[in-house]
Amino acid sequence: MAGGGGDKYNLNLVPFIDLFSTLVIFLLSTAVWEQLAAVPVNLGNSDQNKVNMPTSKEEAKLVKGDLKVFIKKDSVELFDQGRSTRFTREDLVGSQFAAVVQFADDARLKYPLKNDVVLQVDDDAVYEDIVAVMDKFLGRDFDQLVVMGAEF
Amino acid sequence: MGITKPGFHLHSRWDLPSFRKRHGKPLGGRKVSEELNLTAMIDMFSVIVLFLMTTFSATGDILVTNPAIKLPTAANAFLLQRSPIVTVFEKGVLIEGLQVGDNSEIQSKVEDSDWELPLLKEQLRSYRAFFESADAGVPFPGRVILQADKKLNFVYLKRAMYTLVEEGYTNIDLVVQGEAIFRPSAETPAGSDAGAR
Repeated sequence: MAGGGGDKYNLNLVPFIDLFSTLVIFLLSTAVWEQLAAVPVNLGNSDQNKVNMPTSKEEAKLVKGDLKVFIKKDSVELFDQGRSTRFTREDLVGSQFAAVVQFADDARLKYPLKNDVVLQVDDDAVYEDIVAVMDKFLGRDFDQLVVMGAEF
Repeated sequence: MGITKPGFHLHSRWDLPSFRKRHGKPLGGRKVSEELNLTAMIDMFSVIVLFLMTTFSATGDILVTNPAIKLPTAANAFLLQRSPIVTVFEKGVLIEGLQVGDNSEIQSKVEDSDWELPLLKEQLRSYRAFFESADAGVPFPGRVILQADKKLNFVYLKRAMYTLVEEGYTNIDLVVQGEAIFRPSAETPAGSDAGAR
């Protein structure tokens, strides 16, 4: 009895378990097991309106800068207004492209409004390296990545 | 007369002590119904539901990757949008599963003569025509999804990109493994411009 506290009342768990089972089945059937995403490439002759263009002299200082990356089979060369730094592929892969991250960080500080980087890629360059370099620039908000063949 | 404990309903003459004992404690003292302990099951269900809900994706699978392809990984990627899927192999080029090009001996192919992929061009034109007829007035986004093995040389991709650009597909989404942390902005759904984190 309720007053005596002697009787034990059990919560009816059947609808709760039914609901959980339905949820589990639904979520399992709609689950996406492989997470895929996209790294956007802006090819050379595509819409240039997406590239930040300066509207004043002050803004020009924040946008200017000629950032280029030359990706080869065994090396990556980073260009900032003609000054280049070269890294071997082994070093970059070993450091998880830390030099590219540093370069992107420096460029972001120097040109806060710039959003485009040109990647010139050799025919023998490995696709994985190209994506890795692009990934590092995307992480620093350089979202207009122009990919070109090395001979252009 | 004081209060007495009620006795047996059976007359003492037919009273069977052993029957009474069995009747009071059926099945030799064991209870008929046992309670199943559901705590562990509910715990497990809760964990599964929480895990599945955190990994739930409302957009679902845009594409199914070919098991022969090992995709590169990226940490700063965009959400995939539905577009024609071009797959580049060392042996050939596919669009939506249909073979449209042969990549064998690619180094010997000359860009001026046999570099183009006419079947790919044809398919891209038909996709474009379909888009323009279905979405009249909407500017053609020129978007395409490109997937390739992470160890592939760029020359194979370059060949496919050459044809894509010629046909006006200049916004190329390279498929990578990883979580999409950027979302293409709402005002230009077809563009590959920066979105919000």
